[in-house]
Amino acid sequence: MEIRFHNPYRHSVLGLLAELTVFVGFMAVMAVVALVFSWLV
Amino acid sequence: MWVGLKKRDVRIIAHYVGLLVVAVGLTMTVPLATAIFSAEWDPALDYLAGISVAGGAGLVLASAAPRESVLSRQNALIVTALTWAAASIVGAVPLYLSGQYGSYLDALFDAVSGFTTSGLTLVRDLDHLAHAHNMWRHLTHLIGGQGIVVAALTLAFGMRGGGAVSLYMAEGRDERILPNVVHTARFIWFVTVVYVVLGTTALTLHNLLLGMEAGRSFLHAFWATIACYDTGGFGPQSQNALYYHSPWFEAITVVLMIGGTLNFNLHADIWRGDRAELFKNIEARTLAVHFALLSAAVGLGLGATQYFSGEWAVIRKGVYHIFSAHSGTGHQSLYPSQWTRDYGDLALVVIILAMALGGMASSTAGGIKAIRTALIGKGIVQRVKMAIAPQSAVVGAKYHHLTDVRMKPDTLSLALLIFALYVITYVTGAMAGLMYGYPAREALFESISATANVGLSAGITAPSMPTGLKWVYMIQMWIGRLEFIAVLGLVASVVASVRGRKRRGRP
Amino acid sequence: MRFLVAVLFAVAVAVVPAQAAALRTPVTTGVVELTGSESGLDGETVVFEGEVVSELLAGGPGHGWLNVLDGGMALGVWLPNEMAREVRTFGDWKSSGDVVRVTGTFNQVCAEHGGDMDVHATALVVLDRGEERSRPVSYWKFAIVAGGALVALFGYRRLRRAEQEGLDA
Repeated sequence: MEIRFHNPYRHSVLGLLAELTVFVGFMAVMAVVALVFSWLV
Repeated sequence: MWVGLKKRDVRIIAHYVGLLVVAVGLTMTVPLATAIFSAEWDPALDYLAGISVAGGAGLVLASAAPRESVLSRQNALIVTALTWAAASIVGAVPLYLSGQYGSYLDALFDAVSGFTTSGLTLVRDLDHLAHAHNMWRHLTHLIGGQGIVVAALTLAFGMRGGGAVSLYMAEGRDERILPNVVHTARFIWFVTVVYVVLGTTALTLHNLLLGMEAGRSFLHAFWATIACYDTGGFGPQSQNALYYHSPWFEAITVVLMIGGTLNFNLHADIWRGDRAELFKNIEARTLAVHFALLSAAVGLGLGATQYFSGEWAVIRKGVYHIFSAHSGTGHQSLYPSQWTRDYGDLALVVIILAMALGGMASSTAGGIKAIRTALIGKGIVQRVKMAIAPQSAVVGAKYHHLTDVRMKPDTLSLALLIFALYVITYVTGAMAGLMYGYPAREALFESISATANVGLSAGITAPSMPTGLKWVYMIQMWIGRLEFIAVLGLVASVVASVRGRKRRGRP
Repeated sequence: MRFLVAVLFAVAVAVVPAQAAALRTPVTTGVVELTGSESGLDGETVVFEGEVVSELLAGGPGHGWLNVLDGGMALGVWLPNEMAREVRTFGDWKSSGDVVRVTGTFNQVCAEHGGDMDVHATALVVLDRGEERSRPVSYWKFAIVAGGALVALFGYRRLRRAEQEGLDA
């Protein structure tokens, strides 16, 4: 996959931000899932 | 057809292992600097000695053959296996000299645990350990964690006409890696540096707010960052993650754990613009499913316990440990005996499963790995389709892993073989624990923790552990980190060489 | 009159069991027993001794965490900052920490602290002051440095020779 950067770091910054956002969101969802199931018992 | 090693091969192998040992010695300048800055003079001497030993041993080995000797496929495999062992042997020297290990074997155990990013430890009096020694222990995580990728890519690049190194053998081959090997390796280092800088900064701030003095805040932050991003599991205090009593610490480190369990190539792809890959990638999807099921199960498990049914406990002792176990990190905020006594049976099994399954391939995580569970899952679906389809129909399966890939029978069978090897090793290690008299749950827990390079401990790992069991876990950590083939290849080559020599000896 | 007082006292004790527990004598124990998770002392008042290590960490408004080490295990003690001020020296590589006797409620899985095992201290007594540890340099290690350097020199020269002669010489 050829990628030409106008600003070589722009993609990296966006990539990092995307990752961090997804990670934190994912952590929150997992916490909710665990909580919901703990209430079922 | 078992191919033994000729003298020439042994010399070439020695050469490359020697060079890597010298490299490990050079990295000891970091703990040396730490010792000097902290005015820890005796530890500084320990590292001077370590550098010296590594330099000596490494150069003697390297002198067995000239530079740029070509590595055959077999030799590359053996170099991979032996480098981990050799690095551990020299890496244990300064630790042993510290006086805080019961024996050289204990120090070797920690070195192996460090380089394989496991995190089980036999150190004594950790709360009184010098900064230099903590620096080295954590640095082994960084070297071992990043070293895999760099070494694998460099070796794959350096081998002319050979196949790729074992680390890439077990997954759907990433064709795009070989042509851009050096470029990809550089990018992976870039991702690591960014994560380490971010993590260290965030945790330094956190530690300062927690009341730690500036130097310690930084050191603890750096160490925790490496331990989590390289999914290692060492910590500078005997209470490990529990020392901080801080949900913020746990949250920040979990972000690092997730970052660390991501396939390096996935990072590279996302950071080069293909952000959608994070959602399309089969390993990412598989892990998401795993996490959801495991989190639900741990919620059920803990909710039924007497102790951990509170909301915060479910999150901070349940979900936190799912992330720690599944990513292969191994930070724990529980005392070892609590796993089998307070945690409840269901939740304990969930943690064990999380450890056993492991993170993504081509990361520092251990275990069976997400790509394999994904492939096996696809394989099952494919088989069922074949069973109900007409005889002459051809049923294929495809998935998305950086690019769209058609599942080849070879890929699936290799995944199954490695899966089987992991399970066999898990069980064998558990049986070793049982033979030494440990209870079943602890024996299974510890065996999987070692093989999958996780590092959570149910209490068996201690300086008073039987010597035989120390060897068992060390071998498990080593063989698990290298995903079996490299170590088995080494053994097979040695056996074949010995047999070959015996046969030639007969007139 | 006395009968009335007795009845009121009995009612108070029955209705406020936590206060009743505090009236019982604290159990003398150790960190190893407590962290071993089988002490049966959850919720009880305990007394134990150990060395304070590392530092005082923040633990919410007006409170902090001390870590007390005994028998190779460390346990977190949550206490008001004024009580923690008693401690002057913390144990690390350079020094041994103050030895303290802690009295407090043991929580096997503390609901207030997200499930952490801890002790909420009600009293802290410093028994012994920590002092700087002498960490003398072990000069015999220089022998290893020297030995290794010699071997390295030998190896380096052999490597140079190997390069000149080539592999199959």
